[in-house]
Amino acid sequence: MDCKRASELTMKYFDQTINDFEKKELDCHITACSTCRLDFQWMREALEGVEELEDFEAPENFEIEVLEQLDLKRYEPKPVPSKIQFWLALTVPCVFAILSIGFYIRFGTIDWKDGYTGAVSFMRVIDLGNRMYGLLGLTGKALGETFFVFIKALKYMSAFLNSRMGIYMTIVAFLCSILVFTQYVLIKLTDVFGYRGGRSYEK
Amino acid sequence: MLQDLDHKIIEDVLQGDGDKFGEIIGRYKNGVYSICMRMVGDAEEARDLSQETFIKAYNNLLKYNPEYKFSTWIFKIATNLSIDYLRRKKHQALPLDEKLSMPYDTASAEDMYLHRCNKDEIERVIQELPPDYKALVILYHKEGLSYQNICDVMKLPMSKVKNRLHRARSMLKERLKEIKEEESIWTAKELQS
Repeated sequence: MDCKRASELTMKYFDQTINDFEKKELDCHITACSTCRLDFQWMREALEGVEELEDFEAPENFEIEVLEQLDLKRYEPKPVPSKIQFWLALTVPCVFAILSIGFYIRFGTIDWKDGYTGAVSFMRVIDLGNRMYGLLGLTGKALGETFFVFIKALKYMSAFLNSRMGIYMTIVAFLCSILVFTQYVLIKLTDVFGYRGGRSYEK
Repeated sequence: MLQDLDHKIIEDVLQGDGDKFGEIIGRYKNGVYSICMRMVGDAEEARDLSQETFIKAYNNLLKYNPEYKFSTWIFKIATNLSIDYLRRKKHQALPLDEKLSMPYDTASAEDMYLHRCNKDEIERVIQELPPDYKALVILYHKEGLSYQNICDVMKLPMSKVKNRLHRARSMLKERLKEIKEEESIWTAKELQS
């Protein structure tokens, strides 16, 4: 047996998967080969040393510190809603839905010109309320959307201004505005003080 | 038996008795703390990591598979957290304490002295291993996990676990040999002077 095989058997020995025959084989080799014998002894010393190491003691109050950080109610069963609550939750919207449908069929579809009964007045008030509510909703929505578009425009603008092209465009726009402003001032000077700049202008 | 007791406690916790998790902590705190300590080599970090291990275990208790031992599962969490920590921080583990960097100063009786020196050297050698190898040596030789359990813990194929553990053993052996040889040279010099 060569030393490579002995090394494999040494690993098997420490894995505790070595059989009797292999054990004898290894035994014979390490008796004859001093290098493998020393390797085996060093390995045994190292691994037995690891096995004999004692556990470290966890710090004081370790349990308390951990428990303080846990949500101890995490696995508590959640309260199941009672049957009464369930049926109440189901019945109330149903009753209101049926009443609404009834009211609509009875009063919502009649010709209003027939006369103003109390019920018709009530329905008109409700109708007005609904219209106001709708109007408010629409106004809110329009304002919200405008605001949203404004914010989005600002966002795009800032992105554009931060880009290289945006910077160039800003410089060009700045120079143009200086040019326009200068032109404006010159025209005003011509108008107000009659400065002609070498040419004739009508005042 | 111990396993059954663990499963019973876990069932109680899952049924809403959160306080019972304290028993699990009491049972495994030293084991988990030791793994973290040997992995990172720093008492404060080991304390944080072992606390994090128990918090993670508690929050994921529904994912625990009772087919496996609870110890395997919690050691897996501790090992993975420690490896993550070491990778994140690229932390070169320091000696466990001052004693370990000067292991020859206080022993009086020769046997005690030699025994403690040997333990300290082993601790030092473990600290010097790369994180993955360190985890394998601790889990297999110290915590007594099987190859299969280690495969589950490290999420590695069996062949890789075996190869790495064999390499880790060789590194451990070589380093211990070097240290002992250095020591014997040092002792010889001391005797001569």
